[in-house]
Amino acid sequence: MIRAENVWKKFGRHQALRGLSLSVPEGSAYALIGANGAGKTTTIRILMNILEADRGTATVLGVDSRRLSPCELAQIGYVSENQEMPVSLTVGDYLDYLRPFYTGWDRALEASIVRHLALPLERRIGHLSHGMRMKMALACALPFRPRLLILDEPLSGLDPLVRDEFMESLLPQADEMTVLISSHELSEIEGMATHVAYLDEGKLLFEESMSDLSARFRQVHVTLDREAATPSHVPAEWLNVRAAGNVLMFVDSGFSEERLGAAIGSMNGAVRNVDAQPMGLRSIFTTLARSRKG
Amino acid sequence: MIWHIFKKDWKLTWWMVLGAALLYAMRVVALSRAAFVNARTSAEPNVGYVLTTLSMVATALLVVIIVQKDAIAGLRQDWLVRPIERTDLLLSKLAFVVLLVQGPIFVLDIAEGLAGGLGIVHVVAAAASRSVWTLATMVLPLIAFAALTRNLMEAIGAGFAVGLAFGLLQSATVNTSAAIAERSGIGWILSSMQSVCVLLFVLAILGLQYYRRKVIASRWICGAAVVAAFAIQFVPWQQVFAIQERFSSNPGAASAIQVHSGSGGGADLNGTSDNQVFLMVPVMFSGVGLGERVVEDRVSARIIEPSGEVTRLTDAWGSVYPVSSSAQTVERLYMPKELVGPLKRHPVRMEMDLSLTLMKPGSEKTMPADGTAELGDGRGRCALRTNFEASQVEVRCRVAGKVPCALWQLHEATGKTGHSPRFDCNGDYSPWKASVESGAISAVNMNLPFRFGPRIGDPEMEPADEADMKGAQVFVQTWEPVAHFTRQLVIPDFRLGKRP
Repeated sequence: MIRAENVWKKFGRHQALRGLSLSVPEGSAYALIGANGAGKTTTIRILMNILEADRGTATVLGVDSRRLSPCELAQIGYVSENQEMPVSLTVGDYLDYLRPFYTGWDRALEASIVRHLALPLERRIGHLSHGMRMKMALACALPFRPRLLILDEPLSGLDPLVRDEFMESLLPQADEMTVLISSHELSEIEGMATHVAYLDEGKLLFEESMSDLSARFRQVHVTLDREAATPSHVPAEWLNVRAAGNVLMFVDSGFSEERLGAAIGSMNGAVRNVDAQPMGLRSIFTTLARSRKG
Repeated sequence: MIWHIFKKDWKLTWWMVLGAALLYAMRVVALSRAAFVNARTSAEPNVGYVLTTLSMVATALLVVIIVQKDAIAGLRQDWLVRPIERTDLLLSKLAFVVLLVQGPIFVLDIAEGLAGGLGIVHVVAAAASRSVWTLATMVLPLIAFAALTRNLMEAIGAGFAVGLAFGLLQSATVNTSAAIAERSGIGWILSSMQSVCVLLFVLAILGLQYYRRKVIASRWICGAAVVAAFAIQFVPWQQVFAIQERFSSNPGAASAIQVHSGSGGGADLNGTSDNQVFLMVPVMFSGVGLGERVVEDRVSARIIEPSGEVTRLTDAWGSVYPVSSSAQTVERLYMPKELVGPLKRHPVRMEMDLSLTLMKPGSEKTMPADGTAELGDGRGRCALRTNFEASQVEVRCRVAGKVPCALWQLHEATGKTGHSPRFDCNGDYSPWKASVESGAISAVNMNLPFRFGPRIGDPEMEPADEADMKGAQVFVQTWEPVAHFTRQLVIPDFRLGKRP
């Protein structure tokens, strides 16, 4: 559905993307995560042909992103926290304006979304709150049942109630389309993401299915019968290794029971207990971010 | 989807469109009133000119705002991710600007002309000519410029920067062909060349912006357009005039005209500045038909000393005064002071290249010095009255399109006494009816003094007073350029002599 190969982008002296490659499978819900300035928005803008890459290629719906025509754009829904809509028009006016551009616009679905999001049709866009604007952007992106929905930080700055409303409107349709979402709100997208990609300083560190990622990461606590110390040599998969009392703690980013058992067995001294807990996406993200900083 | 986008822009900007139209309507009313109702006060014309400027600014801002409702530059506009055909978007903006920005101006121009009593054919032709010119020289460049900027403030800032750059370049070169052409009738050729050049750049920018969104490249092209438009000023005068010659309506009409050295073959000095003197060279024309006039568009002169040293004199230009066939006239040239000595000591060779225009009289009209009258088959209408101080007859005319060259003369009813004629010629040889500068409806403000001027045909030369103006008439004759031509005058033994 989306493929990027060796994409580079520079703004002045700042190298925003450094040879980014990614692949979004059809039907997936692909979460692009990364710290501020990692290059998520730049990536999405290149995919949408809002920006042009310096090098490399990106294809969306099988078409070079630089050649995206109205035919492809009619199949792509796009929601961004930075979207500028005509502030003097009312919500209803803008929906009226957009409708004729999409042959597959479903008015019943539009009405249902507007009702669910409690959008005030008579209010001017310029008079909407940030949360309302994001809901409106979603209401403008879903009624034509896009094949691909791209969400760029859609939940940023929204209060929990609005986030819930946003996700509740989105989720019923998410199964029908491919979704690419970039967000910091990892707990919200964890429930819907099928694939995750981690972007850091313009480079993709990994992309994999959510199930593989969850299976790979474990928060491990090893309780020893003596004072624990940080080992001088640890496997590369162990991140954030630290000791507290007689407990050695770390995140295993390449978890397998056998390998972990073998690695712990090679440590000097008796091991009283090993506890390996699955991790949430948020914990994985913060672990990776901290280990990159460290 | 062109009209669909059009309707959206109307919803967003209807009050600005109406505001700009209202401003233009106020300008029309102010200028009309100033011309016909209250010629004695200067306040209303000033209001009219202020409103003209405001209206131009409002039109420019409106064009920029309309384009930027779907801005090309920038990364956040919602339309970028919508299935909108770029061609539809561009055509919608063009249609909006032509119909709702220029349209009201076109209609109001026609209304102004008709309300002033001008003929509908002349008025529509002038309004259409002005609209086309405004589109080509102002609106399309503004659309391209707006497409380079993200918002109004950015456009205003960039506009000031471009204007300042062009102004600085202009002020650094005061004697370019364009600067000189402005003072003669051929200025339209350079301004047309500049317009065509800018239009080519505009097309490149619109193509790049609307179809490729190459903002940086387009901004460079905009810079190149400014430089190219500036560089056109340096096209040599002779080549510009050669183009004008091709536009002569009757090129053969001037074939018999020759230029000769005036009687005496010498010259006189008259007036000096710090390092220059006026050189008065007597010149005569032959072959000029009865009632015809020759207008000098440019005189380029050089002095060649016996040693072979050549000194180019500062060109004379734009002297749109009539030259009679029968009388000797004087060519006034600037000459460096240091040449005075050598010129007194020995004769030199003087070469003069003259660019000339033969003018023939067109329509004639006699109108009462107190009242209103039509001018030239509905092309214009004039109001005439004696001023408050009873010293001159004020003629205020509204003319469809550019003002023709005309000779004005006041005749008293009694004794066939005339006053000194006035030849009024703005010198515009362009083939179109009206341009952005001229406006669709132009004003003629002519004052014909009678109290302090000489009375031709009055042997006593008594000063005229208001009583003499009873039944007085104003005679007006238009003049049309029929042939543009060049001649060279060589005076082999040119020396300073008695003043001709």
